[in-house]
Amino acid sequence: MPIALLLAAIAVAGTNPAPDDSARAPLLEDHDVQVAMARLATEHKDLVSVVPVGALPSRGGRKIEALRIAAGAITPGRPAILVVADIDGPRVWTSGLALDHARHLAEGYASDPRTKQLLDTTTVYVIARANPDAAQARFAKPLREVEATGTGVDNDRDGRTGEDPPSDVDGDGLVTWMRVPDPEGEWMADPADPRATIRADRKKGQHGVWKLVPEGRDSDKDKQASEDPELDAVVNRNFPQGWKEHAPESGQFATDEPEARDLCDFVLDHKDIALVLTYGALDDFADKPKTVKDDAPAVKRIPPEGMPESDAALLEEIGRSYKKVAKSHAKSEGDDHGTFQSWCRTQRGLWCVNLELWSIPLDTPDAKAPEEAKPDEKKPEEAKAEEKKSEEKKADEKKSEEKKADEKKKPDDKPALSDEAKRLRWVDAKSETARFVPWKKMKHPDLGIEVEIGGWAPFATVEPPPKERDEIAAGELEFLLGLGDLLPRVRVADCTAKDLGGGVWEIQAWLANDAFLPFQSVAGKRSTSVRPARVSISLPKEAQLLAGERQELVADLAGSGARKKLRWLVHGAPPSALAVEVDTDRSGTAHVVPEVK
Amino acid sequence: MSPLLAALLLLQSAAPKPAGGQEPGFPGSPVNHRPKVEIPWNRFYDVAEVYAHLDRLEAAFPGFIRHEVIGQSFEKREMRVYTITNPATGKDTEKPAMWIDGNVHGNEVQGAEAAMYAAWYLLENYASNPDAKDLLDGSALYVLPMQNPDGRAHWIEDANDPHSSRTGYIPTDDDGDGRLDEDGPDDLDGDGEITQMRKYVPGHGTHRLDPDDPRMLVPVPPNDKGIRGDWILLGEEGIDNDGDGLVNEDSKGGYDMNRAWPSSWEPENIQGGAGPYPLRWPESLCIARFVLAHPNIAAVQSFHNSGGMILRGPGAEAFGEYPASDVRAYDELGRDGERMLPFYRYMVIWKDLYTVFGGFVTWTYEGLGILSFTNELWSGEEYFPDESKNPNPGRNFFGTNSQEQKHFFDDKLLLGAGFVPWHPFDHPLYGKIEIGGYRKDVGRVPPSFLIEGMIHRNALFCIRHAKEMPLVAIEEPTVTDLGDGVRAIDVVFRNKHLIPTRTGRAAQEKVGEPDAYTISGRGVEVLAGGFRSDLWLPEKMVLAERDPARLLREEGIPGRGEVRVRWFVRGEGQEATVGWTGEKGRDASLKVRVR
Repeated sequence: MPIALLLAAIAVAGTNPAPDDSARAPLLEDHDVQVAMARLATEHKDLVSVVPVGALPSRGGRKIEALRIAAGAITPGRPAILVVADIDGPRVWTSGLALDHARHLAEGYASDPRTKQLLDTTTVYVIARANPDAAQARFAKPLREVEATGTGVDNDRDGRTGEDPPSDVDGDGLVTWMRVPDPEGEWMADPADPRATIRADRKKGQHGVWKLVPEGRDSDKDKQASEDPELDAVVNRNFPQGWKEHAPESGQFATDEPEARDLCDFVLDHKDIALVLTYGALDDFADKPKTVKDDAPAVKRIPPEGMPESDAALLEEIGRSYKKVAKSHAKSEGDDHGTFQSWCRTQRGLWCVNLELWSIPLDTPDAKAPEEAKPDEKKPEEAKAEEKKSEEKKADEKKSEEKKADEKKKPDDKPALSDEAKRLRWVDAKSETARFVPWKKMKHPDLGIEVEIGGWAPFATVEPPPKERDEIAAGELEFLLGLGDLLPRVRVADCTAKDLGGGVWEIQAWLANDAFLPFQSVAGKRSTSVRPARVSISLPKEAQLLAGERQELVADLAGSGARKKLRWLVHGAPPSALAVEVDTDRSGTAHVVPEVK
Repeated sequence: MSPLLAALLLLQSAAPKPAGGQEPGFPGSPVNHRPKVEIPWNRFYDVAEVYAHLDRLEAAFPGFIRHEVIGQSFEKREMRVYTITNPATGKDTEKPAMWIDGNVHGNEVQGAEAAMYAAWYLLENYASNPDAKDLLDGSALYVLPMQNPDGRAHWIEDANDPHSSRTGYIPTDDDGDGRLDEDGPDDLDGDGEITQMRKYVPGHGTHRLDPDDPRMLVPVPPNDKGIRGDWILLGEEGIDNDGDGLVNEDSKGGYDMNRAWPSSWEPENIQGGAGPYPLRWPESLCIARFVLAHPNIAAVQSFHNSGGMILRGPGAEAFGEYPASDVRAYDELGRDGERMLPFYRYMVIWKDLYTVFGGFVTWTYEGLGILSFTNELWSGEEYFPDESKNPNPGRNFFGTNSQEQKHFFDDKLLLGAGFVPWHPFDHPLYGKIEIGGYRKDVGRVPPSFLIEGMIHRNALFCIRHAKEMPLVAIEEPTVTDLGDGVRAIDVVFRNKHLIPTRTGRAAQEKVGEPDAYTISGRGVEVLAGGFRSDLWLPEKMVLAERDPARLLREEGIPGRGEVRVRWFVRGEGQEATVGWTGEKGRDASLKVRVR
């Protein structure tokens, strides 16, 4: 049978929310990821190598590895970009996308000037599968969307751990959701679309009727279903910045989860990394980040939460370039406490761009009401602009589950849609029926009451349709290709020697950074993690340094053409015997002999 | 035989006298007692010697003390935990245990000896002292004498001062110049000590010689009389090894292993020495894994020096207050500690000392819910305990002494052994200077003759703490016939000791597992059960939703408190076993008549 038909058949059967026929971002099992990486390294020995990420296997015994892609000799101080995909688990498709980037870089070096420019000046590390244990759930049966891979806790405080996990109760091969009737339940059907389940809002006179829990049994017979899963710790909640002690998802201590420790060690061992690009659940461009003043004082010694304004402004500018080449997407899901992204940015002083590459759009018009649907009649470009405008509007809102007034509707019309209902509109419009399992009543085998089983299928809300994946891959590669040029690179713009007479020379050097990004961010400066530029003057033994610093540490150098002047007076050696040296971890190095002026 | 005679004979035979009039049980009674294992307690031992002493204890008290290697330091020295308990009364994991360690800072050596002493003392007194016997029968000790064996080894073997070698020995870039450990202090005069440098600069100095004692420099602040100093202090012995214009700015290591622990952890810019993430150091990681694997640990002491303090958290103001019930237990132990340890003050770390993020006892309490102290051993006030006789107090916050006091003590009581006299040296940068000052084992560690008192008192403070680990007894069972074959069984679960079976912190944050209160018996059907809240009105109870034969309680049993349980039962069974089980106390059980 032709592969397309076969895959379509699988889609209809409902065991897989989206068939894996994306050319550029296929769904890859761990083994396939490793094979792809090894093959790329073998086929492009001069450009690509496989390097380990940390020393620890995952709890499931899986290695984490990175591709290192660079051309020519890698000089000290040459900056690196670290691309990290699939750190959260469910976004398995991003691994394929990251490997697609790697393949395009390796294959494009010889023919594409932008790729050549990038790989000649910048190293690119790609960790395509940062969370192999969670990712494997994408290929398991029954299918269950899993984030937790680490230490389990006694969630229901009954003296046992992990005795009541989610499971496939109705035998459809999917672990979905259950609406369990409960007088203390907080959930109800969205009046606008009863498929959607929303939190009841007492302020609106609503009262909840259901508990909403993962599909599962009541294995411990405590009248609660699936409340104590085997594993609780989530890798991307196990990092030290904003780590929430005693939350089940946090793990026993920050970096206890081997993947978290491995990623930290990789960043620490590769001091050339200047910028981290993540494809995960966080997005820097969908919402405006919470900012604080650059010099905001600490409270009880803890710096205030939020991005320094100067850093946010730079990020916003990068966001503008991003939106020119890649599709903008829906607002970010959650907060960054305990995440890798937050640690990199706040504690390691790394430049970070975090992207949630896709989520189910919230702006699909109502198919049943063509008159009011202005967007339907717009031309594609206008629709895109409208979409962008509504993106920005959404960026001002904070809630994700509450009803929102739809301004296109008449006041006495149908009730406003929840975000869930909006997602279902997209599902209907695109006929992505496999993503949402219709609610079906069933007598629960343990609870003895009738529950409804259904709701979002595993991975339905995070995995774009294959065609869109290809499109996203193209845009993201464009963005990646341009990132190298943004990175700070310190050079000696000018180095002169002026003869003052009597064998005394005045040496002047101008440090320069012409890239868009400063030598370090405000967060970086605060973290003290970025090694300053070490500027030194070397003289032969017989010469004397009459004035100036033999060695100076320069931590401040802005971007976009900043200059810093350094001066020395040297006696007893000609300029040709002197040198000004600049040494950095990730912004270049220089060794310059002063020019006589 | 008359009762009196019998009693006398009994007395005589009670304590067998070994040959030569040497009885067991040492120290305490100094006459006619000799330890099984002689350990001179008037000096400090290197890493191998510490383990060798403990190995001798293992050989002398077989079964009562054993060790396991839990990991390795960075320089591959063994990290050992010694478990001390009576194996005949149960495994260590079935008993509450006290964790005792020392020497996380390499220069703070006396904690190792204090921890060793606690083990030694209990073992030596087990056979003859009921308190020691009870403690080792009913509980266990986990002793890790050195959290930082590398730091200790280097402090002892290399040239150091009282404060150096605090760190571990992973090379670290302290000054941000991209080089590792490239410029530490140097033993310029080759005397095995890192002392101080001073230079004579007549009319241009900040200090002048003390007119009574030229070993001492007295500061000369700016004044309106035109008096200038003739001397300047140049800091620790050393040169500019890396030519960057700074002296001694990047010594070996450069991090603080007592800022590595996971609770209230903050990175380097907020907490110096913390490193890039918690438990980064191999020593810290293996200790944490051991502690996490032993949820029976119910008390913690971590020894440091110096200053004479009995410290508890919070380490940082941002944390807030500890639960009042836990503070009350801390206060009782802290106040007793102040009496047992002259010149030591019971203090809250952030409030009374300074802010510490990521400290060990912060983690063991805030993270693991264990009542934990960290003592700073040795206060300079112990030099001159009698203030009335001491002419120039001059003591500062850390209990160190004025220069005059220090010299008097050193001259008269140590015959000047602690001080290296000033002597000339030709320095490559500073020219003609003098080198001199106190040796590394003056100031933060006591002189040899005061060591045993320090470690004995602190070890006995540990024992005071350990004796308060939870002890649960099940008491006062009563049966009330309610008719129709239904009976109410009331039982009191008592915790005889000060430390609750679950601290307020543990209950608050749901650390570990709740205690379980059980009843079972053949032919005994349990209809319902719960915790009573009123002595007079039995219907006031928190009824269990399910599984009444196994009640769970997040809050545990309060220190020196009780929990009253009522079960409703019926059936033909005559007898039931009521039990208690929890992480931090030995299981208890009681056979109860139910008909």
